[in-house]
Amino acid sequence: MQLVFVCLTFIFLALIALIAKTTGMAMGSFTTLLIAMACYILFCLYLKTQNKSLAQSS
Amino acid sequence: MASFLPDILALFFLMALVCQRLGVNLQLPNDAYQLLTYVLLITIGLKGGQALAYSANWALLGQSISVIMLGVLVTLVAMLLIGTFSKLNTIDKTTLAAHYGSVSVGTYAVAISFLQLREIEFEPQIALFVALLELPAIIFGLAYLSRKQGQKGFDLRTIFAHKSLALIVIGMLIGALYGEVAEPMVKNLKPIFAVMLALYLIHMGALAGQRLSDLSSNHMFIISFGITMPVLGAIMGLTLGYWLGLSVGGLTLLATLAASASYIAVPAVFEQAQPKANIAQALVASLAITFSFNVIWGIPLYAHAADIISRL
Repeated sequence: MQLVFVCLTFIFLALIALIAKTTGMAMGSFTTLLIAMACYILFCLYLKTQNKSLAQSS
Repeated sequence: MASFLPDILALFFLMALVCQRLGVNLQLPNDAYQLLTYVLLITIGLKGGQALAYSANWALLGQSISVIMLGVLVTLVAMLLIGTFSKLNTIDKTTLAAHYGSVSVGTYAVAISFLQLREIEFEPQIALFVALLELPAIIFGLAYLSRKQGQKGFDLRTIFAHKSLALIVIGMLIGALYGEVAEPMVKNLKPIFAVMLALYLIHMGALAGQRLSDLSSNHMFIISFGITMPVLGAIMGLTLGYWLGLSVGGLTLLATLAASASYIAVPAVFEQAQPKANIAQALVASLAITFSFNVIWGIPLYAHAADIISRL
Protein backbone atom coordinates (compact mmCIF):
# COMPACT_ATOMS: atom_id res chain seq x y z
CA MET A 1 0.00 0.00 0.00
CA GLN A 2 2.90 2.34 0.79
CA LEU A 3 4.35 1.79 -2.67
CA VAL A 4 0.98 2.71 -4.23
CA PHE A 5 1.06 5.94 -2.24
CA VAL A 6 4.62 6.70 -3.38
CA CYS A 7 3.58 6.13 -7.03
CA LEU A 8 0.48 8.29 -6.56
CA THR A 9 2.63 11.06 -5.02
CA PHE A 10 4.94 10.98 -8.03
CA ILE A 11 2.01 11.15 -10.49
CA PHE A 12 0.47 13.97 -8.42
CA LEU A 13 3.71 15.97 -8.44
CA ALA A 14 4.23 15.38 -12.16
CA LEU A 15 0.69 16.58 -12.85
CA ILE A 16 1.21 19.72 -10.79
CA ALA A 17 4.53 20.44 -12.53
CA LEU A 18 2.80 20.00 -15.90
CA ILE A 19 -0.10 22.30 -14.96
CA ALA A 20 2.36 24.85 -13.54
CA LYS A 21 4.38 24.84 -16.76
CA THR A 22 1.40 25.02 -19.12
CA THR A 23 -0.09 27.92 -17.12
CA GLY A 24 3.13 29.90 -17.39
CA MET A 25 4.80 29.50 -14.01
CA ALA A 26 8.11 31.39 -13.71
CA MET A 27 11.01 29.33 -15.08
CA GLY A 28 13.04 29.46 -11.84
CA SER A 29 10.24 28.00 -9.75
CA PHE A 30 9.38 25.43 -12.39
CA THR A 31 12.99 24.27 -12.61
CA THR A 32 13.21 23.89 -8.85
CA LEU A 33 9.92 21.96 -8.86
CA LEU A 34 11.39 19.52 -11.38
CA ILE A 35 14.56 19.22 -9.29
CA ALA A 36 12.34 18.54 -6.27
CA MET A 37 10.66 15.67 -8.07
CA ALA A 38 13.99 14.20 -9.14
CA CYS A 39 15.36 14.52 -5.58
CA TYR A 40 12.24 12.87 -4.21
CA ILE A 41 12.56 9.84 -6.49
CA LEU A 42 16.30 9.51 -5.82
CA PHE A 43 15.81 9.81 -2.08
CA CYS A 44 13.08 7.13 -2.09
CA LEU A 45 15.26 4.81 -4.16
CA TYR A 46 18.23 5.44 -1.86
CA LEU A 47 16.16 4.60 1.22
CA LYS A 48 14.81 1.47 -0.44
CA THR A 49 18.33 0.26 -1.30
CA GLN A 50 19.48 1.02 2.23
CA ASN A 51 16.57 -1.01 3.62
CA LYS A 52 17.41 -3.96 1.35
CA SER A 53 21.07 -4.00 2.40
CA LEU A 54 20.01 -3.78 6.05
CA ALA A 55 17.64 -6.73 5.60
CA GLN A 56 20.37 -8.75 3.85
CA SER A 57 22.95 -8.06 6.55
CA SER A 58 20.57 -9.14 9.31
CA MET B 1 20.66 33.80 -13.75
CA ALA B 2 18.55 34.84 -10.73
CA SER B 3 15.34 33.61 -12.42
CA PHE B 4 16.67 30.04 -12.32
CA LEU B 5 17.34 30.18 -8.59
CA PRO B 6 14.81 29.51 -5.84
CA ASP B 7 13.56 32.34 -3.63
CA ILE B 8 16.34 34.13 -1.68
CA LEU B 9 15.03 32.96 1.72
CA ALA B 10 14.56 29.41 0.44
CA LEU B 11 18.24 29.37 -0.54
CA PHE B 12 19.30 30.31 3.02
CA PHE B 13 17.25 27.35 4.25
CA LEU B 14 18.54 24.98 1.57
CA MET B 15 22.20 25.89 2.14
CA ALA B 16 21.90 25.37 5.91
CA LEU B 17 20.25 21.98 5.29
CA VAL B 18 23.02 20.89 2.91
CA CYS B 19 25.72 22.14 5.34
CA GLN B 20 24.13 20.15 8.17
CA ARG B 21 24.13 16.99 6.04
CA LEU B 22 27.82 17.64 5.26
CA GLY B 23 28.59 17.93 8.96
CA VAL B 24 28.65 21.73 9.40
CA ASN B 25 26.21 22.59 12.18
CA LEU B 26 24.73 26.06 11.64
CA GLN B 27 22.13 25.83 14.42
CA LEU B 28 21.79 28.93 16.58
CA PRO B 29 22.05 28.72 20.36
CA ASN B 30 18.60 28.04 21.84
CA ASP B 31 18.31 31.52 23.43
CA ALA B 32 19.05 33.23 20.11
CA TYR B 33 16.44 31.04 18.37
CA GLN B 34 13.88 31.92 21.06
CA LEU B 35 14.60 35.63 20.57
CA LEU B 36 14.12 35.30 16.79
CA THR B 37 10.74 33.57 17.24
CA TYR B 38 9.66 36.30 19.70
CA VAL B 39 10.50 39.04 17.18
CA LEU B 40 8.80 37.21 14.29
CA LEU B 41 5.63 36.39 16.25
CA ILE B 42 5.29 39.86 17.80
CA THR B 43 5.85 41.55 14.40
CA ILE B 44 3.23 39.36 12.71
CA GLY B 45 0.78 39.91 15.58
CA LEU B 46 1.33 43.70 15.76
CA LYS B 47 0.90 44.20 12.00
CA GLY B 48 -2.20 42.02 11.90
CA GLY B 49 -3.77 43.67 14.94
CA GLN B 50 -3.02 47.15 13.64
CA ALA B 51 -4.59 46.36 10.28
CA LEU B 52 -7.58 44.72 11.97
CA ALA B 53 -8.24 47.90 13.94
CA TYR B 54 -9.04 49.63 10.64
CA SER B 55 -11.00 46.85 8.97
CA ALA B 56 -12.93 44.87 11.63
CA ASN B 57 -16.50 44.07 10.54
CA TRP B 58 -19.22 41.45 10.96
CA ALA B 59 -18.19 39.59 7.80
CA LEU B 60 -14.99 38.74 9.63
CA LEU B 61 -16.92 36.56 12.06
CA GLY B 62 -18.24 34.36 9.22
CA GLN B 63 -14.76 34.21 7.67
CA SER B 64 -13.26 33.19 11.00
CA ILE B 65 -15.75 30.34 11.44
CA SER B 66 -15.05 29.03 7.94
CA VAL B 67 -11.29 29.20 8.58
CA ILE B 68 -11.73 27.17 11.79
CA MET B 69 -13.70 24.61 9.76
CA LEU B 70 -10.80 24.53 7.29
CA GLY B 71 -8.45 23.51 10.12
CA VAL B 72 -10.75 20.59 11.05
CA LEU B 73 -11.19 19.58 7.39
CA VAL B 74 -7.43 19.46 6.75
CA THR B 75 -7.02 17.27 9.86
CA LEU B 76 -9.79 14.93 8.68
CA VAL B 77 -8.28 14.60 5.17
CA ALA B 78 -4.85 13.91 6.71
CA MET B 79 -6.37 11.22 8.97
CA LEU B 80 -8.11 9.63 5.98
CA LEU B 81 -4.89 9.59 3.96
CA ILE B 82 -2.83 8.16 6.82
CA GLY B 83 -5.51 5.58 7.63
CA THR B 84 -5.72 4.40 4.00
CA PHE B 85 -2.05 4.22 3.07
CA SER B 86 -0.17 3.47 6.30
CA LYS B 87 -0.28 1.05 9.20
CA LEU B 88 0.13 3.67 11.93
CA ASN B 89 -1.82 3.11 15.14
CA THR B 90 -4.64 5.47 16.18
CA ILE B 91 -2.48 7.65 18.46
CA ASP B 92 0.29 8.14 15.87
CA LYS B 93 -2.25 8.64 13.08
CA THR B 94 -4.09 11.37 15.02
CA THR B 95 -0.85 13.01 16.19
CA LEU B 96 0.51 13.22 12.64
CA ALA B 97 -2.83 14.50 11.29
CA ALA B 98 -3.04 17.18 14.03
CA HIS B 99 0.41 18.48 12.99
CA TYR B 100 -0.94 19.04 9.46
CA GLY B 101 -4.27 20.51 10.58
CA SER B 102 -2.45 23.17 12.59
CA VAL B 103 -0.16 25.85 11.09
CA SER B 104 3.48 26.88 11.00
CA VAL B 105 4.11 30.56 11.73
CA GLY B 106 7.60 30.21 10.23
CA THR B 107 6.18 29.16 6.85
CA TYR B 108 3.67 32.02 7.08
CA ALA B 109 6.49 34.51 7.74
CA VAL B 110 8.35 33.24 4.65
CA ALA B 111 5.17 33.63 2.56
CA ILE B 112 4.72 37.22 3.82
CA SER B 113 8.31 38.02 2.89
CA PHE B 114 7.76 36.38 -0.53
CA LEU B 115 4.76 38.66 -1.16
CA GLN B 116 6.48 41.78 0.19
CA LEU B 117 9.47 41.26 -2.12
CA ARG B 118 7.05 41.20 -5.06
CA GLU B 119 4.97 44.07 -3.65
CA ILE B 120 1.79 41.97 -3.55
CA GLU B 121 -0.85 43.26 -1.12
CA PHE B 122 -2.82 40.95 1.19
CA GLU B 123 -5.80 41.22 3.55
CA PRO B 124 -5.01 42.18 7.18
CA GLN B 125 -7.33 39.55 8.66
CA ILE B 126 -4.96 36.74 7.60
CA ALA B 127 -2.94 37.38 10.80
CA LEU B 128 -6.10 36.58 12.76
CA PHE B 129 -6.49 33.36 10.74
CA VAL B 130 -2.98 32.29 11.83
CA ALA B 131 -4.03 32.44 15.49
CA LEU B 132 -7.38 30.76 14.73
CA LEU B 133 -5.83 27.91 12.72
CA GLU B 134 -3.39 26.96 15.50
CA LEU B 135 -6.08 25.38 17.65
CA PRO B 136 -8.86 23.40 15.85
CA ALA B 137 -6.59 20.49 14.87
CA ILE B 138 -5.19 20.19 18.40
CA ILE B 139 -8.65 20.26 20.03
CA PHE B 140 -10.09 17.87 17.43
CA GLY B 141 -7.14 15.46 17.71
CA LEU B 142 -7.15 15.37 21.50
CA ALA B 143 -10.96 15.06 21.68
CA TYR B 144 -10.86 12.19 19.17
CA LEU B 145 -8.14 10.37 21.14
CA SER B 146 -9.91 10.95 24.48
CA ARG B 147 -13.06 9.40 23.04
CA LYS B 148 -11.14 6.44 21.59
CA GLN B 149 -9.38 5.86 24.90
CA GLY B 150 -12.61 6.17 26.85
CA GLN B 151 -11.48 9.26 28.78
CA LYS B 152 -13.89 11.97 29.86
CA GLY B 153 -11.95 14.90 28.46
CA PHE B 154 -8.59 16.68 28.39
CA ASP B 155 -6.92 19.61 30.10
CA LEU B 156 -7.65 22.77 28.11
CA ARG B 157 -4.69 24.53 29.74
CA THR B 158 -2.26 22.33 27.78
CA ILE B 159 -3.78 23.72 24.58
CA PHE B 160 -4.13 27.42 25.31
CA ALA B 161 -1.05 27.88 27.50
CA HIS B 162 1.38 27.88 24.60
CA LYS B 163 3.97 30.56 23.91
CA SER B 164 3.60 30.95 20.14
CA LEU B 165 -0.16 31.44 20.36
CA ALA B 166 0.16 33.79 23.34
CA LEU B 167 2.74 35.98 21.54
CA ILE B 168 0.64 36.37 18.39
CA VAL B 169 -2.47 37.20 20.45
CA ILE B 170 -0.52 39.73 22.58
CA GLY B 171 0.86 41.37 19.43
CA MET B 172 -2.58 41.48 17.81
CA LEU B 173 -4.26 42.92 20.90
CA ILE B 174 -1.67 45.68 21.27
CA GLY B 175 -1.72 46.39 17.52
CA ALA B 176 -5.54 46.56 17.49
CA LEU B 177 -5.78 48.70 20.65
CA TYR B 178 -3.10 51.21 19.74
CA GLY B 179 -3.56 51.34 15.94
CA GLU B 180 -1.63 54.37 14.64
CA VAL B 181 0.23 54.87 17.94
CA ALA B 182 1.99 51.51 17.35
CA GLU B 183 3.08 52.62 13.85
CA PRO B 184 6.64 53.77 14.78
CA MET B 185 7.30 50.44 16.49
CA VAL B 186 6.02 48.46 13.47
CA LYS B 187 8.12 50.65 11.15
CA ASN B 188 11.25 49.91 13.19
CA LEU B 189 10.54 46.18 13.14
CA LYS B 190 9.99 46.05 9.36
CA PRO B 191 13.65 46.40 8.16
CA ILE B 192 14.92 43.75 10.60
CA PHE B 193 12.13 41.29 9.77
CA ALA B 194 13.83 39.93 6.62
CA VAL B 195 17.22 39.57 8.34
CA MET B 196 15.64 37.86 11.35
CA LEU B 197 13.76 35.55 8.98
CA ALA B 198 16.97 34.67 7.11
CA LEU B 199 18.67 33.78 10.42
CA TYR B 200 15.60 31.82 11.49
CA LEU B 201 15.68 29.87 8.22
CA ILE B 202 19.39 29.06 8.64
CA HIS B 203 18.55 27.57 12.03
CA MET B 204 15.50 25.70 10.67
CA GLY B 205 17.51 24.39 7.68
CA ALA B 206 20.12 22.97 10.05
CA LEU B 207 17.38 21.49 12.25
CA ALA B 208 15.61 19.93 9.25
CA GLY B 209 18.93 18.46 8.05
CA GLN B 210 19.45 16.92 11.49
CA ARG B 211 15.88 15.60 11.66
CA LEU B 212 16.25 13.78 8.32
CA SER B 213 18.39 11.22 10.14
CA ASP B 214 15.40 10.32 12.35
CA LEU B 215 13.38 8.74 9.52
CA SER B 216 11.80 5.57 10.87
CA SER B 217 10.70 2.35 9.16
CA ASN B 218 7.74 4.26 7.67
CA HIS B 219 10.10 6.55 5.73
CA MET B 220 8.55 5.90 2.29
CA PHE B 221 5.11 6.86 3.56
CA ILE B 222 6.36 9.80 5.65
CA ILE B 223 8.21 11.39 2.71
CA SER B 224 5.28 10.91 0.34
CA PHE B 225 2.79 12.17 2.91
CA GLY B 226 5.00 15.16 3.76
CA ILE B 227 4.87 16.25 0.12
CA THR B 228 1.31 15.28 -0.84
CA MET B 229 -0.47 16.67 2.21
CA PRO B 230 0.72 20.30 1.87
CA VAL B 231 -0.41 20.39 -1.76
CA LEU B 232 -3.82 18.97 -0.80
CA GLY B 233 -4.03 21.48 2.07
CA ALA B 234 -3.13 24.31 -0.30
CA ILE B 235 -5.93 23.23 -2.69
CA MET B 236 -8.41 23.36 0.23
CA GLY B 237 -7.05 26.76 1.32
CA LEU B 238 -7.27 28.15 -2.21
CA THR B 239 -10.85 26.89 -2.56
CA LEU B 240 -11.92 28.57 0.68
CA GLY B 241 -9.98 31.74 -0.17
CA TYR B 242 -11.69 31.96 -3.56
CA TRP B 243 -15.08 31.48 -1.88
CA LEU B 244 -14.23 34.25 0.62
CA GLY B 245 -13.20 36.53 -2.25
CA LEU B 246 -9.58 37.05 -1.11
CA SER B 247 -6.97 38.84 -3.23
CA VAL B 248 -3.93 37.11 -4.81
CA GLY B 249 -1.88 37.83 -1.68
CA GLY B 250 -4.66 36.63 0.64
CA LEU B 251 -5.16 33.47 -1.41
CA THR B 252 -1.43 32.73 -1.32
CA LEU B 253 -1.28 33.18 2.45
CA LEU B 254 -4.38 31.09 3.18
CA ALA B 255 -3.08 28.33 0.88
CA THR B 256 0.30 28.49 2.66
CA LEU B 257 -1.37 28.28 6.07
CA ALA B 258 -3.47 25.27 5.04
CA ALA B 259 -0.38 23.65 3.48
CA SER B 260 1.88 24.22 6.47
CA ALA B 261 2.34 21.82 9.35
CA SER B 262 2.99 22.76 12.96
CA TYR B 263 6.36 21.90 14.50
CA ILE B 264 6.22 23.99 17.68
CA ALA B 265 2.75 24.10 19.26
CA VAL B 266 1.33 20.66 18.33
CA PRO B 267 4.39 18.58 19.35
CA ALA B 268 4.54 20.43 22.69
CA VAL B 269 0.84 19.87 23.42
CA PHE B 270 0.71 16.24 22.27
CA GLU B 271 3.91 15.34 24.12
CA GLN B 272 2.19 16.45 27.30
CA ALA B 273 -1.31 15.13 26.61
CA GLN B 274 -0.40 11.86 24.83
CA PRO B 275 2.96 10.59 26.12
CA LYS B 276 2.74 7.45 23.96
CA ALA B 277 2.49 9.41 20.69
CA ASN B 278 5.40 9.18 18.25
CA ILE B 279 6.27 12.88 18.20
CA ALA B 280 9.67 12.34 16.51
CA GLN B 281 8.02 10.81 13.44
CA ALA B 282 5.52 13.67 13.17
CA LEU B 283 8.35 16.21 13.54
CA VAL B 284 10.35 14.61 10.72
CA ALA B 285 7.31 14.86 8.46
CA SER B 286 6.31 18.41 9.43
CA LEU B 287 9.74 19.99 9.78
CA ALA B 288 12.21 18.04 7.65
CA ILE B 289 9.85 17.27 4.76
CA THR B 290 6.87 19.65 4.69
CA PHE B 291 8.58 22.83 5.93
CA SER B 292 11.40 22.26 3.43
CA PHE B 293 8.94 21.56 0.62
CA ASN B 294 6.83 24.65 1.39
CA VAL B 295 9.75 27.06 1.78
CA ILE B 296 11.65 25.90 -1.32
CA TRP B 297 8.88 25.01 -3.77
CA GLY B 298 5.45 25.25 -2.20
CA ILE B 299 5.05 29.01 -1.69
CA PRO B 300 5.94 30.01 -5.30
CA LEU B 301 3.59 27.25 -6.49
CA TYR B 302 0.71 28.47 -4.29
CA ALA B 303 1.34 32.08 -5.37
CA HIS B 304 1.17 30.98 -8.99
CA ALA B 305 -2.06 29.04 -8.38
CA ALA B 306 -3.52 32.03 -6.48
CA ASP B 307 -2.70 34.29 -9.42
CA ILE B 308 -4.54 31.96 -11.82
CA ILE B 309 -7.56 31.53 -9.52
CA SER B 310 -7.93 35.27 -8.88
CA ARG B 311 -8.23 35.81 -12.64
CA LEU B 312 -11.15 33.33 -12.96
